[in-house]
Amino acid sequence: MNNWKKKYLQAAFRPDGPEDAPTRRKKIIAGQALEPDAPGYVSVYNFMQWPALVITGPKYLPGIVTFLLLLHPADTVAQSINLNGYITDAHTREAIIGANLFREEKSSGAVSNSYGYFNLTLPAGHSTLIISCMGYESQTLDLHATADTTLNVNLFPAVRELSEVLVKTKRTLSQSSAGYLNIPVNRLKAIPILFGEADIIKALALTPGVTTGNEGTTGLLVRGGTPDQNLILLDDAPVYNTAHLFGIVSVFNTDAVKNVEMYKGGFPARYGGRLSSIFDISMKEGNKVERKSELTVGLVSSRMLWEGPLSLKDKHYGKSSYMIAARTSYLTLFLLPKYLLYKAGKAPNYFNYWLYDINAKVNYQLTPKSQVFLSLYNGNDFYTAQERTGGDRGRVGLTWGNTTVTTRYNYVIRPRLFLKSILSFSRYNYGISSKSFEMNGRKWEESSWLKSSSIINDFTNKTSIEWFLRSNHTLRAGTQASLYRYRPTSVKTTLEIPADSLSKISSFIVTNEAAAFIEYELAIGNWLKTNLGGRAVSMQVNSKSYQNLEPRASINFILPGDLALKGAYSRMNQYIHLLTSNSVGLPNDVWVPATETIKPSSSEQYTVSISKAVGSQIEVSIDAYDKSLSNLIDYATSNSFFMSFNKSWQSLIEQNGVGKIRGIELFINKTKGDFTGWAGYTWSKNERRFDKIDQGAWYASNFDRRHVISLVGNYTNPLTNAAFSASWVYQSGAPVSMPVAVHKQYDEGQDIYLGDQIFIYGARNNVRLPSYHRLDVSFSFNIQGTKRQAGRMTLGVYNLYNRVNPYYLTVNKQPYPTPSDWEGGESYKGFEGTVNKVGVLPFLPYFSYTIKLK
Amino acid sequence: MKQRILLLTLLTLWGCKERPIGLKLPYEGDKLVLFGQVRAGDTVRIEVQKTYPPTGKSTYIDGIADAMVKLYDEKGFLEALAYLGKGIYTSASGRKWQQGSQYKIEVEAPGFSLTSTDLEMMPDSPVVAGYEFGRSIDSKYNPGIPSKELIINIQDNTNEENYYMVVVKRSIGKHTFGVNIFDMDKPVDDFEDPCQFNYLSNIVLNDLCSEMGIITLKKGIEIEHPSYLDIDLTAQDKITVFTRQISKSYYEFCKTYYTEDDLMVAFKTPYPRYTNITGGYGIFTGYNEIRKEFLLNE
Repeated sequence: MNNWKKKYLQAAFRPDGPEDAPTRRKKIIAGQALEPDAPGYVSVYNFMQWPALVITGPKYLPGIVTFLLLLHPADTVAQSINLNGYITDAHTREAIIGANLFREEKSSGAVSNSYGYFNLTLPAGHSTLIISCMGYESQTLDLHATADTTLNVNLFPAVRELSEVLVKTKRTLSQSSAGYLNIPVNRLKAIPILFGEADIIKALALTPGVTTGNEGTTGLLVRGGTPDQNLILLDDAPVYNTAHLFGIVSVFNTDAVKNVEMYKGGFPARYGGRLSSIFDISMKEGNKVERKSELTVGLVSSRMLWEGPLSLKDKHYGKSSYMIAARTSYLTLFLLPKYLLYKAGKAPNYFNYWLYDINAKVNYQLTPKSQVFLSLYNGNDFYTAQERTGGDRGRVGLTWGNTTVTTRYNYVIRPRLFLKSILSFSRYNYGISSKSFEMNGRKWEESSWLKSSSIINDFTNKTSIEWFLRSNHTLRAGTQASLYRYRPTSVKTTLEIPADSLSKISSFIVTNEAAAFIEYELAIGNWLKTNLGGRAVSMQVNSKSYQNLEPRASINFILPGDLALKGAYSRMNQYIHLLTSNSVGLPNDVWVPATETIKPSSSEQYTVSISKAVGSQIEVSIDAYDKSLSNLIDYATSNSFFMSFNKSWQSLIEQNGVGKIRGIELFINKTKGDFTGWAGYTWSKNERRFDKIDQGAWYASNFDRRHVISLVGNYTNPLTNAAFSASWVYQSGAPVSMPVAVHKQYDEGQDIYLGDQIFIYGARNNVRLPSYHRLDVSFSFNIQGTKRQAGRMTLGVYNLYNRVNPYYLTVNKQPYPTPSDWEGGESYKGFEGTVNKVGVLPFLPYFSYTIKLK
Repeated sequence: MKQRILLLTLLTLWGCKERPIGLKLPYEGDKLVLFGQVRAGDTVRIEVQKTYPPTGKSTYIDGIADAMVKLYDEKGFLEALAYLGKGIYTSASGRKWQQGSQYKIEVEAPGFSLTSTDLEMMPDSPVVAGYEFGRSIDSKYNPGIPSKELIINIQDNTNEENYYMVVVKRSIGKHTFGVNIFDMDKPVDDFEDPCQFNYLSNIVLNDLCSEMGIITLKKGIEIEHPSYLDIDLTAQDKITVFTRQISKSYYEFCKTYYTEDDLMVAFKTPYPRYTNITGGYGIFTGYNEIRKEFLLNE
């Protein structure tokens, strides 16, 4: 370390040519002192108060992976230099995730990690680098470097996506693993969504292989999985329930989200703990250059965003930033009249609803090589209902919410060695309460109550390194230790329930998980890229421990003609179960761990894919997958958790369920130009089997959809910035359980109409709903504001052609004769049964208005 | 609670639209339906019916008249039951269901597959430690309607898993009818009670909430009668409480009475109703009961 020579270079590539110039080419000579804003070359931008670091010194010994380096062409091993640094947004100085650095001469390159850090090995001397990222103007850099160099690169957001980034497009598509998808948040935000609440979760549900369960809800089903099988990370902390307003709105405020990466298959070994998908969501860091605020007024909620540098003093300016995004609903205002009527005794009941969430993040660059982040999310929903019946009043309350806190520390130990350490806390809780009041004199007094709650607390530490061994050789390794505290339910009540029953069900369950992973990312020449790795996990619950190895592999063959053949294999284990009877993620579902008797569930997925870049703006990919699930659980027939809380929840469930899912996905994605959008098609078959359900026969899983088509388009006028968006989705009908027969109601000593019809249900999910399709449109345009503010209005319609999509089916049974026609002592003679479909989301117009304050 | 949540969702989602679709639900073909909720001490009797398609127009038949119905106990065949009419078969010898014995029925009928029941035990008589009845209260649900408080203390055998049912009837003169019952010991009805549930208008209990071997039931009973009945208000007026000890299969049959409708259907998979019939549907189950009468008017 002490013999390292340090030189400084800060390069920000500010375009100095005309706006639509096809290429931005800059020259940099490492080691030379660069003048700020030198015409025709680079702009030296002193945003970090110290220039970037140019480090020369001894090369790394490749150590135990030397043998792997032998695969690499010898010329790059010899006389190579290392180029590393951060890629940031030129306006806000926020790190850019997933930016590509591409060396033109050898078709090799690197991708910036989730902190914007990159590392690239180059031959000493001249290289031409193309630096690009979706949504940013690409830059071409002529670099002359004879020693290891640190280079911080700033990219300018693209006003229009230019076509010259063809090379980058091809690279991104061919090199991303099978099952991976990253769509810029700005594109996801533009998709028209119910009530105009921009929602990344619902937008992603329009991509192939991803759907939601019931219409309008946020529980994502990825490649036939259930919502609990999705690992949703918000700045590395898991989020256990993504639903606001019973799933109509997701908990992710788009103002606060910078990047969303989705894995449907080909999971890298650094992720684990869920069976079906990974959503790695990064919060914005905040603007490091100037303070800004933004207000959005919507139909359901309003949002505020504040961001800027923590300090404007020279000493700290450019090193830090904050971001606070807050959102709250105002349904309470609409419901206020009913509440006032209730209080005045003129209404028998009322209900109230309120939700809020806050995202906050601060970061500070301690030294040129280290940075610390603190992220926070807190959101809650509150529902209250009261009713008056005679001399009594009853009150029911429901609340649920998530809290996540993440601290992250990054350190560039060596230019080739990047360390990150994360400490996170995540908590999900819900509570239901019921109280009754009696009038005592002139006062209402509480007479009895019952409160039930459920909590999961998750403390996790993850530490990992990213070691850029050589160009196209990256080793990632790390450990993860988690402590979970579950209280599936806690009941307190004035009801006469034996104390030992209450204490039995209210106890905490503590589990520990320890995991280690290793990934080796290797590219050979220009034709092969692989990511091989594995994850070893040990889970401890009481005296039982589970150990599992999870091999992971993905491989891309890159062929001439911008064609890539890809394959991936993943084995995953999940040590947490969601007790749910509906598969859509209602808040009162209960998280429980694997236990001595309930095994962790596991999945195995094979994916093959073919992708091709067509022209400069279109990506086409076809994926086929085969996924098997095992050790699934489900409620046993007619059991629900609350109803049977006298028993251990473990005695209420069916175990050892298995699932098999197969599918083919077609994705045509136009990523650039004034018109962007995609067309997706999915064919899939999704089945489940439990020994005690349908006598062990396979049955169609809930929400199994054979065909799904989605068309999403957005046109933005380059002159006015007005945007028109439309999305159309078609899904073949989901399976539902309908009666297979009817028998007469018998005389059970009741005063009921004899001969009423009793349904007999047979095999699960034996009937298909009619198909589902819907068109949504929206139009956004700027409204001229003052110097200090600018406005943007969005008008839209959900379900434009007012299709009555079936939310559920109901059997309408009409008995005859009606009781009024009975002559006395009779019963029904027969009945006529018909099926109706019921839709709940008709033509719904909406608006939202955004004000940006400067 | 879930219904309340979903109702809110529904309100929030603007409203429902219902349209008929010409969907014909698949029908698995005619099967026998056996029904026998039998009381220890009663004459052996069972009803044999059939299933009907869930969609389309169906006219009920008057029961299966040409079946061979055989009665067995744990030792073997006892007798073939005789047809009484309207699908009902009974013991020609006047045999009664014996408390503590186990019985099984086997039915053969032309056009149907062989249908049989499991062996079903006739339970013992329940033990009621005490009744309290008479305190006047107001109705919880229909203010102004006079009501009476009913407290029943059932003696539970803590060494075994037991199930009970309480049925309340009112009789005025020649008319007997059901009554509205409300909870005295629950805040509101939104919570699913772990100890009891309502099946039709009966109360079904398990022994979870027994304390020191006593299960206490506190209910309010509306003292009201149906307006369509021609009631003689001078006639004897009484409340009769039937306390039953029921078998586990009876409890399961009641518990799996699927009543979800409307929006709830979209969120909860309906489940097959419990049956202990092989080759068909229905239930064959036993109970034993004691009754207690409370006079409201001599």
